[in-house]
Amino acid sequence: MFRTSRKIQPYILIAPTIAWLAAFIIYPLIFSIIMAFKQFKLKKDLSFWEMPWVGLRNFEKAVHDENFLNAVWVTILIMLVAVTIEFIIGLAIALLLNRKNVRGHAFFMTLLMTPMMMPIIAGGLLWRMLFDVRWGVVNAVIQWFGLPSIDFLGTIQWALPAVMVVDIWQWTPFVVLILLSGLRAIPEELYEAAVVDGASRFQSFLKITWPLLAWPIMIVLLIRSMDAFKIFDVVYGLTFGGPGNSTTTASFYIYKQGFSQFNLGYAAALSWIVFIVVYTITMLIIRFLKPAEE
Amino acid sequence: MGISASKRIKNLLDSLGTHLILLAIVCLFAFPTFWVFMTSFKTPREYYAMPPAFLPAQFQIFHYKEAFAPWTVNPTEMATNFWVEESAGRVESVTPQIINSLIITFGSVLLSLAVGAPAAYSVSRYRFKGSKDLSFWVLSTRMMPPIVTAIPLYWVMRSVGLAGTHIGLIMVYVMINLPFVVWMMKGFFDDIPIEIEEAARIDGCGAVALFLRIILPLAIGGLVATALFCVFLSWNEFLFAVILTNKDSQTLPVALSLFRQDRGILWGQMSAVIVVATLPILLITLFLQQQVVRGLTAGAVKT
Repeated sequence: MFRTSRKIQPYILIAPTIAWLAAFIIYPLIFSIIMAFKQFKLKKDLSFWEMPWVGLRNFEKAVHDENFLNAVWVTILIMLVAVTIEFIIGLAIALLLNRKNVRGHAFFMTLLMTPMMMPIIAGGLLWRMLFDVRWGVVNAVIQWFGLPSIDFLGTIQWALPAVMVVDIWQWTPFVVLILLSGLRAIPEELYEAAVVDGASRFQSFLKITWPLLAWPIMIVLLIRSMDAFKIFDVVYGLTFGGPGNSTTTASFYIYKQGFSQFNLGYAAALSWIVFIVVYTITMLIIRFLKPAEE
Repeated sequence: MGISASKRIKNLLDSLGTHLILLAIVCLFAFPTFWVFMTSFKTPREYYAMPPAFLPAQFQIFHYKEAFAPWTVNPTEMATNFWVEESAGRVESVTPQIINSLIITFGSVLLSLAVGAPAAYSVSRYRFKGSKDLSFWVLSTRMMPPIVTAIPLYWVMRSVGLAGTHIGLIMVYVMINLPFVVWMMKGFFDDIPIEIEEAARIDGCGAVALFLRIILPLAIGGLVATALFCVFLSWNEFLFAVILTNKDSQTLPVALSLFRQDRGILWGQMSAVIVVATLPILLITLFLQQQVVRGLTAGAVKT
């Protein structure tokens, strides 16, 4: 009796969590597959099974939907540019913070992490204020240099860089956190041995830091690249996808299809396409960046 | 002697340079937060100016009054003294949304811990098939764009009548929090020596009593840290909140988003609401930086 109860005990303890995830992730995902093959309009007062099946038509429509393709392109552009910049700045800050002669970590980290502490939507709104064409502080700086002010949020070529700036501001601290914990895990003796062997600072960076940092670098690039496909709040607060559709990201476009066009079936199909793209990119990053196993 | 002195000066300059560069970078990152804090205390005359004033001449709290208790504001007095637009002072208070946010955050955090902590204990103490993949699981839920589940969840919640209710959003937030709860709590349970449990068991302590009376009190620090990280997630969440709430259950981030259009010109009020929305999380981080970092990097870093 005692033995059997001990045997099932771990399963009883974990059951609620599994049930919860099944109900709120697995079940909706199955539901979503069905929706993707239906014409699922919110406006029509039909029950779930009464919505007409349309086969692959939602997917066909997606492939020819220029706005959707544009949204995916915008997302990939943010991924490539913003994540690269975040990585470079983040690595530089992490290396500086990891130097032996640096004091006051808590102070630096607290200030550095402030952008991550506020709701992302607040970050978008706050930068809307900073980027304002008439009274924004960014334009105040530009004017101080004697240049004409720029309507960042109202012109097509400036809106996307503005979104990227906010993303960089908000997420570089995260890159620093991951890379710094990676740097701290490198044993000090390696550097001391390198100094004894007469290696220059640059050499020890290239031969010790870089290879041992490969895993955290891969993880952080992976997470941030995937996060690009989640970008929603910033766009909602800063530009609402405009002007035109110049800052409409994949997540934001799907949201608009689902909740302002009430086209849930189409939105579900789009979200599956995005999911497959994300999965493919993840696998590519893992394949190319996975450090050689030792 | 001379060499070592010049070397020391060089080292000192090197250290000073590093600190100065770091200070500059860090200030750049903190500046927008500082700016919104200052804007919330400025008069419109000060923030609608080019170049805008760096510091308010006087710290005015009337934007806070406007945002949270508009009934305490006298419109005519405000218009003459502070040069405020006509719409100001007549918008609705944001106080109900703060209450909604509090209900939903506390509800979801308590429920997440109640559901997730036993699971974490189970993963910490017993070997499962696939329990090694825990970090992969945490990572993968982090990678999936939430919009993929948001679309079907909206319909599911609507058809069972939970869309627009506090309970509905609480349940969804538990789903978001769970991977982090299991990940973080497993780490804390791992730190409790197994000998304590064995001793208790020999003394005739049952499984439930053992968990509630002995394990949980020992892990109380971890429980608090995990709870605070869940507060961080639930308090700031926006996508599910905007989809699954209506006027009666709106949370603070949704209230904030209204400033985009309806209240687009009300910078002072908007800043006041942003400050209030940010303050709790900022305080948590100030006192528990290590734990917040542990949550933020969950799955990505081996702790």
